[in-house]
Amino acid sequence: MSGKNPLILLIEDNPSVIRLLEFKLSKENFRFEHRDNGHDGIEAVKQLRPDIVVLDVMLPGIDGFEVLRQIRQDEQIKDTRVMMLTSKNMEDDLERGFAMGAMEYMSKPFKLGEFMIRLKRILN
Amino acid sequence: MNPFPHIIADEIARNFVLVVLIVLLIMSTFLVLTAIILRKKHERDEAYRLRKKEELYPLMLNYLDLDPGDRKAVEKAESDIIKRLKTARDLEVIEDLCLEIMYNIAGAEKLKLRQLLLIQPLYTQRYRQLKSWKVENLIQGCLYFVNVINQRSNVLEQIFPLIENRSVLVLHTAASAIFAYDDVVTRGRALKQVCMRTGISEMALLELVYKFHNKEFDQMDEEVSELIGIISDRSVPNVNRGVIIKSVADIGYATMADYLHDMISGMHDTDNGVIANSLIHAMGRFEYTDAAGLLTEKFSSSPDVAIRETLADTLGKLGNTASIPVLIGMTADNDFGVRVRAVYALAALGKPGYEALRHMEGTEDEIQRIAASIIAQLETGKNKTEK
Repeated sequence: MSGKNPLILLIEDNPSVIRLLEFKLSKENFRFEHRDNGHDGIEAVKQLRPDIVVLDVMLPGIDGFEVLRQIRQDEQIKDTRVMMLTSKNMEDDLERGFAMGAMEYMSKPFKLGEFMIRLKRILN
Repeated sequence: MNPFPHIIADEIARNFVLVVLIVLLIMSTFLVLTAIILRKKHERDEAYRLRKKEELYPLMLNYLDLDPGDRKAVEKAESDIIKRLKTARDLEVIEDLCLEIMYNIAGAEKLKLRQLLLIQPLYTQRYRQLKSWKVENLIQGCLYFVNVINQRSNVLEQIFPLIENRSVLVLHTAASAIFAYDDVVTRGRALKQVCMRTGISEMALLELVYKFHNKEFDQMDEEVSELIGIISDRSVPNVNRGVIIKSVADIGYATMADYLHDMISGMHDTDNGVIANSLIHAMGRFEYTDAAGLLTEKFSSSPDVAIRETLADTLGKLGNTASIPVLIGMTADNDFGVRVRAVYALAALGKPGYEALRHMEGTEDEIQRIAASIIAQLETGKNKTEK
């Protein structure tokens, strides 16, 4: 992590969630970036090297699991910390997310307070 | 006398065609212009909503960040939002925004948004709509109260009569609003009122029973008591009682299985086929294996084809091998649908059913062909598993 405030990259296409997390994270002095599809998300991970990627599963184009797989297969970014945030709360998806190397998994609807606690736990 | 009648007739015809063309041109121009105006209006409306959304978003996010105990700050934030709500369209925007965010978050923030939905102008407008004669107003009002009914239970008395509304959509949204209320007895009363109506589709009623079931808190026992009240009430139309019976099994009210089993035991031949059919279906959904004997005894010789079909399906689902002789008998039923279902039910009973299928004799060619096809499928599956 750099000396600057931690950078969070949100890969999510739901405008409400983007606005809400942008507000909350900025308020808590995180730097915030977002991309609304998987392809742009992977590019942003390579360019910005975020401290944490918050990744939705249901994305236009390639889905979140595929984004995670590509991150883990790329030597340059494979150690990026990823937290999955999705409305798919099926047990299989949860297992799949962890098996593919997600550090946290939260399902929507989520509690904002709990989200922040989990995010900070990954950072620490 | 006119020496050139054909020329005059031609002229009249030409003029007539011209007039028709002009009228068509005017009409199509009018339609195109109307479409353009409506489209422009829609675009302006969308642009306005977007601007209003952008204006309200920061205020809402600030509101969400406030400590609910700080009443002064909360009131100030509410008043800042209210100042920006000048038209009915603005009220729709704030309502949409609240619901959009509520859909994604839980906990304290969700409660705050619910509180924000209750701001005076929005609440007053939606409450007024409940008294309107316009279907769209009634629906909009009911949909609003789905989210705040527990905070404003005084509106229940306004919503209950809407279950009697001629429009099924109004009935549906009114019932949905009441089913969001935490008190089971009130919800039960509403469901009964819905069930007293005729002409509701099975799908619509099933959906409403799902809504009646509270997913946030465990109220299964209390809900079961309300449902039994409806099922046992013979003044409720049979078709609706039947849907309720089916849905309790689908939702999984496990404690109702014994009650329904007892209901079958006490049934007489004169009882309605709809109820019988639903009860058989429910036993299958509950996988009530011990019911196989009772179902066979009561319904295997029913004159109602639909009942025999459901019975065959259910005996397959129950997995009780004691049903094999009955199912073999059903492969020779008068009705083709029953015969086919009996073959599939035998296949569902595992090895003994499968053996019975292999040795099935004396049935028509088509049924033999279906049985052979099932045996082939089972054997292919078995070979694949062994490999």
